[in-house]
Order: sequence, then structure tokens, then C-alpha cells
Amino acid sequence: MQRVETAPAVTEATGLADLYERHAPAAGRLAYLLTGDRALAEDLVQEAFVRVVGRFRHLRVPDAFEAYLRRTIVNLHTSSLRRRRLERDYLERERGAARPGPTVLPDVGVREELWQALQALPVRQRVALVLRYYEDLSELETADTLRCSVAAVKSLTARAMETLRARIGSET
Amino acid sequence: MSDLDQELRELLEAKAREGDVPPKPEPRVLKRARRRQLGTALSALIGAAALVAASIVGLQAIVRTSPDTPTPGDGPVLPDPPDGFQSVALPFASIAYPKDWFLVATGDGSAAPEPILQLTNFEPGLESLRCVSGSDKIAPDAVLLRVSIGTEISYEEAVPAPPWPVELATPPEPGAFMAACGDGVEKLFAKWTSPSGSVYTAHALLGPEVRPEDRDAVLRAFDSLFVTAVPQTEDLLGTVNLILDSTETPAGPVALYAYEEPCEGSTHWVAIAGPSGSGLAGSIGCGQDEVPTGDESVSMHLNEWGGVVWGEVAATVARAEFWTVEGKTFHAELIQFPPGFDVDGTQIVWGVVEGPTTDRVTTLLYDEEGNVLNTYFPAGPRITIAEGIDPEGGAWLLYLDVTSEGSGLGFNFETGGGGGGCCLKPFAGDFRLDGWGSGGDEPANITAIGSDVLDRVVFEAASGEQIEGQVFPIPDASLGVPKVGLVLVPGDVPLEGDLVGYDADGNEIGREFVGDIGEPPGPTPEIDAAWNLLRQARDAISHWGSRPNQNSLADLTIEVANTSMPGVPWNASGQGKPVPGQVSIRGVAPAGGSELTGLSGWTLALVTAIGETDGSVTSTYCIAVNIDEGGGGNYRYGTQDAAGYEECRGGWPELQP
Repeated sequence: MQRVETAPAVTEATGLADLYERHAPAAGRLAYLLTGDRALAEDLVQEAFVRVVGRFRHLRVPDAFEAYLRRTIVNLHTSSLRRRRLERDYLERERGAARPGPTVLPDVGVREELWQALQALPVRQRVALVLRYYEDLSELETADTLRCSVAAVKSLTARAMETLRARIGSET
Repeated sequence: MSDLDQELRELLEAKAREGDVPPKPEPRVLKRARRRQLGTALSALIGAAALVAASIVGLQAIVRTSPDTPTPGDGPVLPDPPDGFQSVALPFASIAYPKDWFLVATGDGSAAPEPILQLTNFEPGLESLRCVSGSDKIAPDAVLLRVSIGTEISYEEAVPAPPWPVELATPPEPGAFMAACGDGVEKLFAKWTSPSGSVYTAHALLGPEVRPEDRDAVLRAFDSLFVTAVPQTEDLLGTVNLILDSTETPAGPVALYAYEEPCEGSTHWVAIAGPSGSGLAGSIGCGQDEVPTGDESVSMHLNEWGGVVWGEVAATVARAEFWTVEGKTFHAELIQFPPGFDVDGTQIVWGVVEGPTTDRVTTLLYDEEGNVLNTYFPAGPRITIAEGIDPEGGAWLLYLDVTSEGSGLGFNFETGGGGGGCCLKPFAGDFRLDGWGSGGDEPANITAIGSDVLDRVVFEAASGEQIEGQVFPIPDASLGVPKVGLVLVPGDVPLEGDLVGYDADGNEIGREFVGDIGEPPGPTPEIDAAWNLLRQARDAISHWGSRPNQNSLADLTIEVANTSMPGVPWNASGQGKPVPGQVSIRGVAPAGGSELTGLSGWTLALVTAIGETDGSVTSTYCIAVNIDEGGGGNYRYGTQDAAGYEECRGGWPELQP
């Protein structure tokens, strides 16, 4: 049986500006790793902040604001990706063959390739890697954020790493 | 840690530093956040003190309503509307006006001079007030009334401000008093001092071809005017707020209004505002990309006397009503967006629910033929199976929700979390896990369904605790599910272990794992080999099912499996047939939200066996796979040692052969 849990109300405890200043930097870094785009990341953080604050009085654990913000960023990113992908595809078609190739310095070449490979992963795989390897979440915490099972996290992570290995291996 | 692991960590750390966002929030972000807080009205139970206050306010609003001489008071004032008029309480004014006119509220009371309302006999738009700039024009038959705190221009300052009541009259120097707003427009003016000592002005503009009844109507509207320097209602959220309707509630009058704000994918917002301090406030965005198919764009503010429900539904809805889980229905009003709104295919629904309700109100939608348009809707009142008080979680309720799709078990703590699922199907076995919910500091709740023989249910936690549950009969015999077991697991006990059912003689009739599922090692090499075969098949199908642009198992047959996944020894001699050394597909079905993940996707069961050298089967093994949209593969084991595949069960009734 699928259950939708509702949470009891709690009291708002802190000023919005303080709350934003405290959580925005970390949230921005996470959003940037997910989107690869600074402007999008900033939009994502602001949108997530507004949404989480809107539910703040209903949060089960106010101290878990960061976790709620993280989950909201992930959810917003996942749901908005399809539309942005269409936009990006269109823009790339518009640029066409005239687009210059990347100029990559030798010493950062592998890292840049890895970054590109990360960006090319399916969204849930990329999210799983960022949560596991950057946010240092456990498999259980990652599963909770992604709202899936631990087994799914294992699968997503394994497949993502397999893809990265293949991609980096084939290009180096 | 591998090189790639390390490289990935270093890359993410380095890249993350490029993603710093400005630590100071933009003002618009804070504004939206505050608005959102106010707008989060769904199911917010307001405190007892607020309720008492609201009740008093509501009572005062009724008592103080006076047909001719509105007077200031502690609560919202509603002038008695003449025939064809409606009355609305705004934050700083109340007024009765013709039902087909347009009332706009503006201002937050923080400045003077400041307009607080604009009344017109034409749709004025929401971008700004009309006839404020000299270039604006109104139609020859138009009427406009604007009321402001303070004087708008210097000429008005010399005009005396007697106490209310005053009349609209031609100003001493009409040409100097306000923008003309078109040729031949008649100007009327009034200035007065309210009992609180504030000075107000009113400006009326009447086009050269105004109808006599409209002239009379604007004068009557002005006569009904009540102003207050202290907000009598909750704040209105837009800059220019168009009043759509007003209704009475036990807490006092509540206004429905719309405003424009381009954010969150919406331009138009529909909101409510009740008496000041009542908490009756909130907003929902309308006119987004997709027309709602059901009541997913309907919000509500519920409390102990009932609540207000409002939102956006499809324009094809001909009738609507509100339905509570207690089985009560209430009339819902359908209101068209004014023509000037750029909203296609939708309309507004709103109304009042009377009496407390324990869960979300469903808005039932009907087409012109009376057909229900909701894809999922309640088909009867909630049925209580059992209720009690847990020392840790407090009062709880175990119930059946009867819906258009069937009946589902649900569980709620009165002051906390809970939820339900759907749908129970006739149950032929003796005992099966139904589901569980957990979170926060509350006890987790586990439910199981069982036959008549189910007498006792126990959760054997992996950490060693034994938590005794309760068994209750399910009141609706037609469901084919005689009993339900409930175990409340204290918050400090990890939710991992076995849920066990017993009959009256103490015999174990079923056992199911609750919690995260790992991959158990096989106790013998033969069993290990069987499991490895199943895992190999599972992984192959996960990979096949999540190939680009697919994410579906819709076309999976044993023939497809043989062709597309030749590395697995598939059995084609019978659906789900247990054959040693081979894998059979027992069933494939849309998951529609798996028990494990809640994600939409597909589920299938795979079967294999171990046996004797002559090919006879000694034990059957099975595994279930869920493929979600993102390609994640979840799995769940069935019975590990069964005599036949019929017993290879794991809670997937849709996959029964």
C-alpha cells in the first residue's frame, strides 16, 4: 500500500532572510552540480526556498530545513529537466556546425571530460551521484531524498559509475 | 576507494565552488516566501485561541451589520445589500455594490493618500487603477468610483471634511479636481472624517451617456460605504485585487478575489481573505500550462467549524460539490474568470464546508450530463475500523476509504501523520502485509490483511523487540478481506524485522519482512545458483526496460526476452513454470506506484527452481522487479522455498498467473 504521510504543524522559528543566508550557499552548490548552470542553480535555490518556507509551519522537524530544501531542489530539478532539455536541444540545433569545439587545457582535460560525462547522465543517476559523492549522504538518506528504495539508489549509482567509467575510458 | 570515486569527489568539490549563489536573498524572493507562507492554507488547523477570536469576530460581523448606517467595529462590517447588490468586506472598507459590477481593492494602509477601492460598471483590468493618469479614458456609459485615504491632490485639501455621512457632489472647481478620463465626463467628489479621525476622499466619474440606473447604483454604493483605519480582514495579496465573490462563514465574511503576479508559472492567482486574525487566507495560481482534469488545483482552509475551499477547475465542469470523508456534501459555486483574464479552459470553484472534517475535502466535478469527471473520487463516507490511543502517538484511527476505484486501508494519528492507499481486493490467503508508514518521532504503523483465522499479529524487530499488535474485523464483508492487523512500532525501534500472523491456536500463518530489503545469501550452493540466475535475469530486464526512450516493460514476452537477452536461459515451456536452471516470466503488469517506491512503472515476477537430476522440482524461487521511470530497478523476494510456483508469492496479486 502506498501511503502519503502528512506532518503535524510546527512553529516557524527564524527570520526568512537569516534562513536564506544560512542555507543558500550550500544549496546553490548542490543546485549547480545538478544543473551545471549557475543562473539555473540560483533560480532553483530561490524557487526551492520559497516552496519550503511556504510549508515551513508544516515541517515535521524544523531542524531538518536543510534536508527539505535539498529534497525540494532535487525534485524541482528533476521535474524541470524535460522542458529545459527541449530548450537546450533547440539552442544546440540553432548553433549548428558553426559552434567551435571545446578548448580544454591538458591538465584539466580529464576533469572536464568527467564533468561533461556527469552532465550527460540521466537525471536520476546524476542526482544519485551528487548526493552520494558530494553531499556524502548514505544510501538510505539518498533513497529518502530521491523517494526511492535503497536498492534503486544502488542501481542508479552503479549504472552511473559504469557509464562514467566507459565514457572516460573511451576518451582517454 | 577507486580512482574514479576519488576523481569524482574532487571534481564535485571543485565544481561546487563555482556554484555559489549570492548569500543575500533578493527582496522578491522574501516577498514570495512570505506570501507563500500565507498561502499555505491547506488543512492548517488554527489554534483554539484563534478559533475563539474568529468566532467572536464572526458574531460581531453579524450583529453590527446595519442597513443604513454602517458603523466601525472590531470585526468586518457587511452592509445589507439592496436587491441585485452584493456586500464585501475589504481590509479597509466595506461596500454594497451591483452584482455585475467590478470591485477592486488596493492599498495596504501604510500610506496616505492611498486608494483603497475602485468600483466600476466595466471590467477595469488588474494592471493598475483606472483614471489615475490623464491619458486614460472610459467609455461614454462608464461609471467609476474611487475611495482613498487622504486627499489625492492639493486642491482637495482646502475642502472641509465633515463626519460621515456625506454625499457625492459636484466639486467646487471640477476642472481642477481629478483627471478627466474622457470628454464630457461628470465628476463627483466627497470628503469626510471617519470616527477614528482619518480623512477620506471619494471620486466618482460618470460618462456622458451613463444610464440613470447606473448613476443611482453608484450613489447607493457610496451610501453603503464603511471605512476603517484598522484592517478588518486578512491582507489581500496582490497590488490590485479584483473581488470575485463574497460569502458568510461562522468565522465571518470571506472574500474571493484575483490578482496578477507573474511567478511560479502562473500569472493569475485566486485567493481568499477572511476576518483579520482568522487565518482564513491563501492563494492558488491559475492559468498554468495544463487544464486540471480533477480537483488537483483546488486548495482549502479547514478548521474546526468547517472550511473554505477554492481553486481552479476545467471549464467543462457544469456542476461541482464538495465532499467530506464523513460523507457530507456541500454546494460549490462555479465562477467564470472575467473576460479580460487571459485564462483559457478553466473556471473558478469555491464554497464553504460546514462542520469539522478529518481529512481533505474532495471537489466532485460533473459534466452537463451529470457524469463525474474526477478520475478518482470518494464513493462513500469513511468507515472507521478501529480507534484508540497510543501512549506515544496519541489518538489514532484505522479506517477504510471508499473510493471510485475501491476501498483502501488508511491510518492516521489525530495530531500527526498518516495516510492511506488503495485498493483492497478479495484475499484468498491467510495473511499478507498491507503496508506501513513511518516518520518523525511518531510510532510507525504497520497493517496486514488476513483471513478469518488471523487472531494475533506481532512485529519481530531485527533489533530484538517484539511488538504486539491488534487484529480487527473489517466491517465491509463484500471486500473479501475479513480482518486487518495493526502494529504500532515505537519510534525508538528500528522499522526492520518480520511481521508475523498467528491463528487462535498460536500457529504461525504468515510472515513478511518489513523494512529495507537486502539480498540474502543462499544457504547452499544450489540455492545461491538459483538466486544468481534470478538476479542475472532481473538485471538484464532492468537494463532492457530502461533503454533510451523506452522505460517500459509493455512489450516484454518470453520471445522478446529470448531475442533481446540471450545471456539468460529463459524458459518458454509455460508461463511462470518453475524449471531448474531456467528463468520463467510469471507476469508483467503496470505497477502504478509500487509498494516499495511509490514510483510509477512496471512490475514483473521471475521464477526459477532447483530440483533433482531427473528434472523434478524440489523448491521454487521467485523475485519481483520494479522498473521506475528513471530506470531504477527495485526488487523484492518471494517465497524462497516453495513446492510450486503458485506459492511463490510476494505480495503481487496483479501478477498471479
